[in-house]
Parts: sequence; structure tokens; C-alpha cells
Amino acid sequence: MDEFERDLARRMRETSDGARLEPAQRERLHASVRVRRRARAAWLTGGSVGVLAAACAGLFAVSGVPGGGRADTATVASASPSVPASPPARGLLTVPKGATHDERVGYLEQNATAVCMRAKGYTYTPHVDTAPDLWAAVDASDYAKAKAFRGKYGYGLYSGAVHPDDPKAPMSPASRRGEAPDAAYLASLSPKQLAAYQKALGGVRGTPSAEDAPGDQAGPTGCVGEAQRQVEGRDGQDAAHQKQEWEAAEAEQEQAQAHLDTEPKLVALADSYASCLSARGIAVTTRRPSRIADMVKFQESAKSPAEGSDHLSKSEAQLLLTADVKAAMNDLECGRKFRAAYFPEYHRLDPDHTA
Amino acid sequence: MRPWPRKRADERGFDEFVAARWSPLFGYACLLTSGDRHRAEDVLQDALVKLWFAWPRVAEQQPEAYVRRVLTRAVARSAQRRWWGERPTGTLPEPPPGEDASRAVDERTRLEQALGLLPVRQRAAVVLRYYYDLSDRQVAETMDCPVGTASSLASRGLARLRKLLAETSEPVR
Repeated sequence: MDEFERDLARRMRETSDGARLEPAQRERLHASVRVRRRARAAWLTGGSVGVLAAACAGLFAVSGVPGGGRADTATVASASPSVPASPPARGLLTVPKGATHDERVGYLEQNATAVCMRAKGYTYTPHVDTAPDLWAAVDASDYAKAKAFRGKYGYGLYSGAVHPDDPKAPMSPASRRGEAPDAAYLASLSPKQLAAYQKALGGVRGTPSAEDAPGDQAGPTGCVGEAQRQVEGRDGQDAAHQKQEWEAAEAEQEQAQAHLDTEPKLVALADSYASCLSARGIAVTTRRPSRIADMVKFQESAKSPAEGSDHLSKSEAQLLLTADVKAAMNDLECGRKFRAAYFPEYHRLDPDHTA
Repeated sequence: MRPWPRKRADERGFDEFVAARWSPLFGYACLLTSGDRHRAEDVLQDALVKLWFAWPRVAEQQPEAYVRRVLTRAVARSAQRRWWGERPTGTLPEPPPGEDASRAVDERTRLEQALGLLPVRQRAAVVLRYYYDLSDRQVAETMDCPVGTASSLASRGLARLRKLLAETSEPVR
């Protein structure tokens, strides 16, 4: 190594001097992991790439969702016409016809959780957070639904601030009411009672949703844990099983993506899609079939305030919504032929897809 | 199949790794992205998310090597597709006038700009060799290429860097 090389090594190593992991960076990383976990879980349970898109577009409560005991869960339940109407407070859910295995598990776990909580003297209304119709509209796997949705709400980044009373507007106060059917009951509890309720419900770090929180050595606790063990017949300590599932899921997704990204027809259509976007002044950052359908959505999402749109005035939000609608519609029209070919292929690869 | 919550011990190990190795990994990402710190953080964050999912199988092996591989490939792929609209000019701009106190920063900026003028695989090979002090074999493993290719990429990149930095090493007037 000569002097130039030694100097080069020294100068390179100075690049990272002083770079420390800041709390905000750590939080961003954790939030990204949570988003990706949801997207993968949704892929496995018959969702679509729109789940990831929705997560990034703010339709999932990664951050910026004020209040609510379920801030770590999807926030789109009430916007889904396909989910049965909320049952009576003392009722249980009926598993919808055509539900996938994992959707069925979700319904049964909710019912088991409700039975367990009620046996302990608490009020608990079972509810399932799923919105395939909304996803189809946002990710545009269904052109007609997407046109109707995007024409009014864009990608849903600002519509909640413009249409606060519309339960179909993502992130609107009205849409959030449906995600916590027992909100009034929970609000009536004292802090001590609420703590006892959460302990009975289970989960870790004070979050009732054990699924998204890091599990402890014994797996999910309380009624949530009991319901999972009862329905899935699984022991929370089965680390080998967990590892197998993650690896299988990862391999499955990687294979599917590799196929989608190299399928000649999709590659050609993605290219036309990209050219159309460029002609309309939209930056093209990827031409990969497995990515391009979400590209504009991600770009728009990246421009939106991290804290959500709640703090915006209605006029500010209206201006932003107009731009969001324009971008979403341009994206929809440019990608129409691509999506018509892409989603059938995507769903063909998804063994759990039933539509 | 429903992903089961990860064990807390796994989470802790991952967090400890990220906290301990953030600085060198961020430095590597900065050099690969020619000093674009926002982009460096983006690619590093993406790589660490991938690491999180791979953690059960790589935690006991070489997690940093895994992240290096992911980062290298991500930057190479993005450069191929001009994801970030890179527009190499072929020459380095003149350094801005500055006092001695900012000389170190200028020096770093010049290096990063010079790296940005290298083809991305040459850049990666040079950075892996001099920043991480890796052997040609380790560089080849990281870049997923034959050892001879790694060696050639690093040598050509180094030669180009010598020229670029020599051209702009005159004292600032």
C-alpha cells in the first residue's frame, strides 16, 4: 500500500466519524420493520402489494395516528364494505364466505378473545381490521373501484382532513371511530381499570395488539395469547416453527417477485407505463413490475407530512388533496394496461388468493 | 401462515448490532452514494430492514457482511436504473473557497465527488478494499463476482481516483 492508498483509507474512514444512530433513525427503522411485517403478513393472508402501498401512503397507523388503544393496527376497517357490519355489542363475528384460512383465523381469534374477556367481566366487541376492497381501490387492482376512490380521495393522504365526517375517507376522524368499537367503554374506565383491562387483554409494552409488538419469551399473554393458542393450537415458545415460517415466507415472496420482474409481457407493459408517466411530468424511479404500480404512491407519500394531515387547515388540505387526486389519476390511467396484466399474474402466484 | 412475534432476545440482539455498527455502515453507505447522506440513510435503512428479517439466520454468522452485501447490490442496482437521477459529469467541480477549518470537510467532499465519478462497481470495490480493508476475496464475496473481477475493479477504480484527485489537489487560491 503506497502513501496515496494509506491517505485514501484514512480519508474514507473519516467519513463516518461522529455518525451515531439517533433516536429518530432508530424509530424510523422500527417503523419500517413494522410496515414490512404487515405487508408480508398481508401477502400471506391474501392481500396485495397495495397493503405495502397503503402502509406507506399513511393508511396504516405507523405513526401520526392520534389516540386510540389500537394505534398499532390497521385503520381502515370501517371503510371496507366487504367486512360484515359491526355485530351487536354482545355478539360474535360470523366468518365471511370465501374467507382464506388466515382471515378465518383472524375472525375466530377475535371471537375467542371476546369470550375470554367477557368471562373476566370486561366489555369486548370483536372486530377484524381488513379492507380488501379499499386496497383494491388504492392499489388499483380493480380499475373501476380505483377510479371512483382516487377521483375523490387521491391516495388518501389528505382526504381525512378534507372530509372529516366521511367514514370512507382514509384517516378521517369518522373512519377511525370504527376501528375501536369499544372506545366509549374504554374512555369510561379509570386509569387503574384501563391498566387492568389491558393486562387482561394481553400483549406487551402496553399495546393490546400483541401481533405487531415484539413477543416475549412466553409469546402473547392474556386473552389475546389464549385466543391465539386456542385457535391456532400453537405454543408461543416454538421458536423453530417461527423461524421456519419467516424463512418460508421470505423465500416465497422473493420467488414471486423475481418471476414478476422478469415476465416479458409485464416488463414491456411496465416500460410503457413508465414512459406515459414521464410524458406527464412524473418522475420514474423504477421500471420493475413488482414496484412500479406503487411508485407514484410512494413518491406522493414521501412528500406528505410525517405527522399526518390532521394539523392542516381544510383549505391547505384541499389544495394538497387536489394535487394528490391528479397524481393518483395520472398513475391510474398510465398504468391501466399494466395493472390489468399484472394483478392476475400476482394473484396466480399467491396461493391464498381466493378472488 | 401468520408470522409469529419475534422473541424479545432477537430484537435486543438486532438493536444492539444496529447501535454498535451504525456509524461504520453509514460511512460505507455515504461513500457508495458519493456523499449523498439522505440517500445513504435511505439505503442503509432498507438494508437494515432486510437484515431484521434475515436476523434469525445471520445473527450468529456475519450480520455486517450481510448488510454490506445488501447495500452494495442496492446501490449498484439503483445506479443502473438511475433511480436517483445520477448525472456524472466526468470532471470534478472546483473546490469552493474556504478557511483551514473547513479543509477537512472540503477534502471529504472532494473524495466523495471523485468516488461519484467512478462506475458504481469500481466505486464499491475501492471502498470495500480501503474503507473496510477487505481482501480481494472478501470484496468478491461481497460483490458476488469472481476474485479476479473484484481485483480488476478495485485496481481500475484506484487508478481513476489517483488521476481525479491529483487533478484537483492544487491549493485553493
